[in-house]
Amino acid sequence: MDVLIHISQQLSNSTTPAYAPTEFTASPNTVVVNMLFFLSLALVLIDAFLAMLVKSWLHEFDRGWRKYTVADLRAQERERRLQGLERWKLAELVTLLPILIQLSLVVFCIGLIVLLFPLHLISAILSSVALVAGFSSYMFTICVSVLDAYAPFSSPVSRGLVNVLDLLRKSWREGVPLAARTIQRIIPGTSSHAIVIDPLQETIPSSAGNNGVANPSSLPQRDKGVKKREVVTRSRYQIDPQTHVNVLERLVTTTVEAIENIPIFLELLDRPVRDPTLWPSNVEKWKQLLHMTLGLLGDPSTISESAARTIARNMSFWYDDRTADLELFRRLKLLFEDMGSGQTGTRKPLNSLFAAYLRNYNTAATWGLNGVIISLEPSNTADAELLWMVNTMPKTIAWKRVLDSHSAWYEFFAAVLTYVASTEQSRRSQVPLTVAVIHAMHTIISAVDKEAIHSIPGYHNSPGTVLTTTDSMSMTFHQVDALDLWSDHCVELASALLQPHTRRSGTDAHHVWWFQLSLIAVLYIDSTRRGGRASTTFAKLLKLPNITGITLRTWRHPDAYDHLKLAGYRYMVLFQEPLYLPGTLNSPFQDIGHVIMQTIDHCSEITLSALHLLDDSVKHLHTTASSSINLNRHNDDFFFRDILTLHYTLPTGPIKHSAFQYNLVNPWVPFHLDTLFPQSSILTPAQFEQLKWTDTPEQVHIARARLALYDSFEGEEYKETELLRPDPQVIKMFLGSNDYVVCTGAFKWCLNLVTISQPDAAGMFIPETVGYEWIKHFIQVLCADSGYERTKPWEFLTKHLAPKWTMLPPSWCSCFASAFLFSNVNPPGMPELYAYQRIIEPRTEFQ
Amino acid sequence: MQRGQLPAFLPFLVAVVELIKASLTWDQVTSIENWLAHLPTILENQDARAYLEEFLGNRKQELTIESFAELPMADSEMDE
Repeated sequence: MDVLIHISQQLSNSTTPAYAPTEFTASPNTVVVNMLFFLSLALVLIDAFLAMLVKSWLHEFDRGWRKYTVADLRAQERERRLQGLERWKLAELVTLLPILIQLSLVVFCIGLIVLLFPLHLISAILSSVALVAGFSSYMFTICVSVLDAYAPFSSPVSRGLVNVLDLLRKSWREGVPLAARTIQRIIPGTSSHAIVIDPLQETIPSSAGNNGVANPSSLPQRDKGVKKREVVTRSRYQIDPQTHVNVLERLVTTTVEAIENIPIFLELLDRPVRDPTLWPSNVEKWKQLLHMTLGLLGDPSTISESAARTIARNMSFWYDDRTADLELFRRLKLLFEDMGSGQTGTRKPLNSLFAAYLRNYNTAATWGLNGVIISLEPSNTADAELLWMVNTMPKTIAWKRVLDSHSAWYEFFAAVLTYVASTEQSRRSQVPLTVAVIHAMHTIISAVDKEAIHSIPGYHNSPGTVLTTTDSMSMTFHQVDALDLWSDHCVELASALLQPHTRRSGTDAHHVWWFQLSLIAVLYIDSTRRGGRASTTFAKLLKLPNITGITLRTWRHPDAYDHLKLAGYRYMVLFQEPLYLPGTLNSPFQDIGHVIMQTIDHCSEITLSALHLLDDSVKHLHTTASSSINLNRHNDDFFFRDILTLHYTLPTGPIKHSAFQYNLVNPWVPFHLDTLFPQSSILTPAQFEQLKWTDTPEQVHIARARLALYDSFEGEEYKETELLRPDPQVIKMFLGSNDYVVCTGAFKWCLNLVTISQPDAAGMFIPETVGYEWIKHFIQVLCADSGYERTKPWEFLTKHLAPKWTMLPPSWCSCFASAFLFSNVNPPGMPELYAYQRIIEPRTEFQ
Repeated sequence: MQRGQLPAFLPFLVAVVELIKASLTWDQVTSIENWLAHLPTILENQDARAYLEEFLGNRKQELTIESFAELPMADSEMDE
């Protein structure tokens, strides 16, 4: 430009000297402008280049994991790549891209203003005003984002500012107390309370109520550390329920055609049903969402098992019998029954549980459900489903007509505990089923006792929640640390449930006992797993119940258990002491011989329960051990007394157990042991002399077992074997029994022995030696009311006495005939009936 | 009990009754007869029943004769 001007001047005026170039100097303003413009340009170029690179990297990232077709491999590959992406801070790099553009724009704007001011002031001012306004708006959005985490203006810059502020806040919080302590050290006597101020002290908001999360200040102090952790953990789930509803609604309505989203819908739909912290404030809205999801699913008969379970859960949870879509329930029930029909094992599949559950929903019966629970195939999924049922049972059967009856509750929870104990659930999964049952049962019993069952909200009474009673008798639940079975609180509740049964409305002792027995089995299993304090606590809990007459039937479903383990549980309940592997403190017992010998040691006084336990244990021993089972009595040189020793062989090797208190046992015990181990000879003549027949239930049990053993010999050549032979002295003793089975059984063997000892039959007919009075006794026993089996006496006489009639001593026969035909067998005051008339009462028995 | 075994009781009862035939009183015989008359047909063993009825009839006859024989008036009328 300068050269052209100079040439033009030369042409107009020849005196103008030749052009001499001047030294180039740029004004500072120009330098600044150029610097800013080029810097802006460079930033934009770098940004564009980086954006291109990032795009290609992300494309590679996607391509890397999408090539897998198997879902879990795909997920694993994606996870590995995602971790690499995080490790190399790709997210931060992407964050940098908009910052670079913003920086470039700012630099360019500054350069523009610097350029305009020397050129034209008004233009520069107008431009500056516009740019400052724009920049101010930008800064305003950043400030809003810093103050409001949910403002829509969030940007990398605002997030950075938030982080900086957090850092400053943390420094302030830590710095002020430090400074205070420093000041205190420098100026002694200054009260720390006067100085330390925590201006940023955080308060944990109490959100109890709708989402069920407790105020930590209300939690017991002893578990404060645990509570804090739990609250922090749960805070991740503190989603506003309404927000949760909105999320699901938006997903369903905006992607209604997207079938692939159904699993997500189901998962979202199920969360409030499973998680008490996500209780929606608008249940009606939730019901609408359920039906929208059902619409997506189409025909219920074609949906997957897990989807069907979710729908069933939701249907039974949100509706009652008056409002439910019963047609849908019926179809779901059939669907579950079809799904479970192919199962061939002894345990039932999970679908059977839901089929029974829905059946229970429509009919007020729970027994079908209980049976399925007991025999459910163990799995983590089954545990979780049961946990849900336990937690929601107050709601799902709240409308039934069993509200004020403990029985239904006891039976349901006992069934769950039977499942837990028989499958040793606590050893294989972390699902806190036992704790849930303890809390639920405690809650319900408390409510029923106070006739306030309706005041239970019905939802999620456990785990982690417990019933409290306010002054106005309304029941509320709040969060506690209840997931530890051996926590003081939980042990306290378990103690209350194990207290001896007191009659409550609609409950008989057997329901309570079933529950208590199952609970003890569960507690034992868990205590052997935990050891230490759990074992000592279990020993104390074991002292609480008072269950009488324990037999296999007391357990209601004994076949659900391993019989060895069940024998051990019975031993513990019966003698109220834990049973561990010999020589250990809390290892579980492992073989049945230990149970047998420990039981014998406790038999200084015999009880029917102990005899039943012995019988069942020995029976189990005979089925599991090899044929060489030996029970020996010997005098121990060390203890200077008789000791009983049991030897047998298992597949794992030979086993030996001893009863060291054998010298103290009741003499009927060795008598019974001879029955249980017919090849052994335990009873001594001296002990036999001590036997006195008093017709106690225990003696009747022992006699019946002995006679059954004799009967098992019938037809066998027992004379040639080493087995226990029918002993006339024993039979004579049994003749005096008032028990029909014992008395007639003994008399039958009297008749049998006549045949056996035919040559000198006259001297061997035992009843003749007992006297005429016994015949009257026998006829009384024969004609005593035998319930529905009124034909049994007649059958006995025709089957056993009639064939031997001619072989018996005539004098005895005459005595019998007189007594049979003419002795009045009815109690005084009743119409006179002779024995033969009592045995066959015309017009009443057979017409 | 199997129904086929039911009638087996009557023969046994016959054996029992036979054993104490001589000591049966009128009332006792009547009592057995009444019981037998009301016995359900399902229990009937025709042979045993017929035998028992005859047996009881005979016993009643014997008892009648015995009772007439014991009447003093009868002896005196005969003498007269």
